[in-house]
Amino acid sequence: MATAANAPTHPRTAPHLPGETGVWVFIIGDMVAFAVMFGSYMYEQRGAPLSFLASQQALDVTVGTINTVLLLTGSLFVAYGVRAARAGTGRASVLFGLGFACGLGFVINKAVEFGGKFADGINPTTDTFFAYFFFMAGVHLLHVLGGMAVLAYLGRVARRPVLNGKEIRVVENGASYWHLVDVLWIVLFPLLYLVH
Amino acid sequence: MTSVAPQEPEVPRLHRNLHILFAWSGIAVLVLFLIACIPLMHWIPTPVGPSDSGDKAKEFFSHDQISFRFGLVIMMLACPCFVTWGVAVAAQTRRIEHRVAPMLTYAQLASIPAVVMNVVLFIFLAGAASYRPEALSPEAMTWINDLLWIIFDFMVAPLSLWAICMGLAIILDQRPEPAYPRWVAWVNFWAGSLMLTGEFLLFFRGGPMAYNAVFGLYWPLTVFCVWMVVMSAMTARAVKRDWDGGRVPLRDDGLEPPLTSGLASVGIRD
Repeated sequence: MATAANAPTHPRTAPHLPGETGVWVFIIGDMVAFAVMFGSYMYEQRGAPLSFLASQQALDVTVGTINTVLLLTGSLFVAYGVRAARAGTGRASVLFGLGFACGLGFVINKAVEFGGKFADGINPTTDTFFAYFFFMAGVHLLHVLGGMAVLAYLGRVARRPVLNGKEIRVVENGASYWHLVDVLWIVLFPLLYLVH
Repeated sequence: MTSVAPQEPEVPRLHRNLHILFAWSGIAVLVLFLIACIPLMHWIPTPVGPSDSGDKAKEFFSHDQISFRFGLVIMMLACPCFVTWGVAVAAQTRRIEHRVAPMLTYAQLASIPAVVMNVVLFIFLAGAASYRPEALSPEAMTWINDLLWIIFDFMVAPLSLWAICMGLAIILDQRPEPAYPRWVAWVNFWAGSLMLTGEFLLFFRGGPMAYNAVFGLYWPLTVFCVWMVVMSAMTARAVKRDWDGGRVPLRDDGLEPPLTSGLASVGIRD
């Protein structure tokens, strides 16, 4: 009873989880998959630090940085897009389109990077580092492509100025997924390009 | 014409219990499969990896053959359980799709033989390899070992389609009392997309994506096990809820498939 008496008397606002619970099941499950990849990468890196370092030198940090900026900018547009969808300003669709464009920039940049590596004779079978590099960056790239499809869909859903509760939830689901794609890259970029 | 319909005979409760049994047969698949692979066949962890010699492969298939073959028999018994589990989920999907052409149900039903075919193919080839290993050269043994692992790990695509179709059905369930909670759909999407890491194994003879390594074998296997457990438990729960909630037998209330009269079935309204 004492605890009840000491409890704060003013009601707190209920915490708001964007989207539906199930999306978070997917997001957390996806993060577990990437955590396994990251852990396994770091384990192998500790076993052969010099070989990993030598291979990492072949990567262009500028390319990775541009991609990081693109994804972060994309996430900013998407966050503003969700806000616009909730407020019903009618600009959400354009903002999701801009987020899509950032994703497209990422994909093009990645294709140029991968193409350059293949042209230099570097591929997933070159060594363990590049096996991880192509695998993790490749799986992430598939996530980006999926995210672009989601943003294209959100752009269509948000075309109407005022959205109902269900449509807002769809927008939040998609935006949460896009932020996941961003977060994964924020870990992947330093891991592959920067941490020696 | 208003005649009082004769009282429908009660639906035998065996239907309910059978459906629950079929739903839980997913667990039987897992138990049989893991017993076969781990203690009996010593197939997991991978005894002969992609960089091992042909002599090691020959030694593996020549050694402890009785236990290996017995494991294959157990694995064969898991195949019918795959069928019963698959139809238990498809039956729930069919109820979800009662107002439309049941495409997702068909896709699930088509996935069952695709997956069972892969398992059976593995069993036949592994059985032949252990049946007369002395007749095969170490090179042939390497080849058949690679082939078996490629079949074993590479079968994830039909499983993936299967999971995605289950997920879509759950998301599209518009009934006031949906068969599955919505989060189960996302477990299916997660499983359907992340089992696919096994699809990269052809490019590697070493490293994390090879057929004996974490993303070739262990990660897809773990995802597969989680998916089977969730879908078995949740399907059994859905069956119980339907029966205990009085939604069986299927009623003519617009929410379930209507009991068609002879006239209705040819498109004439009475």
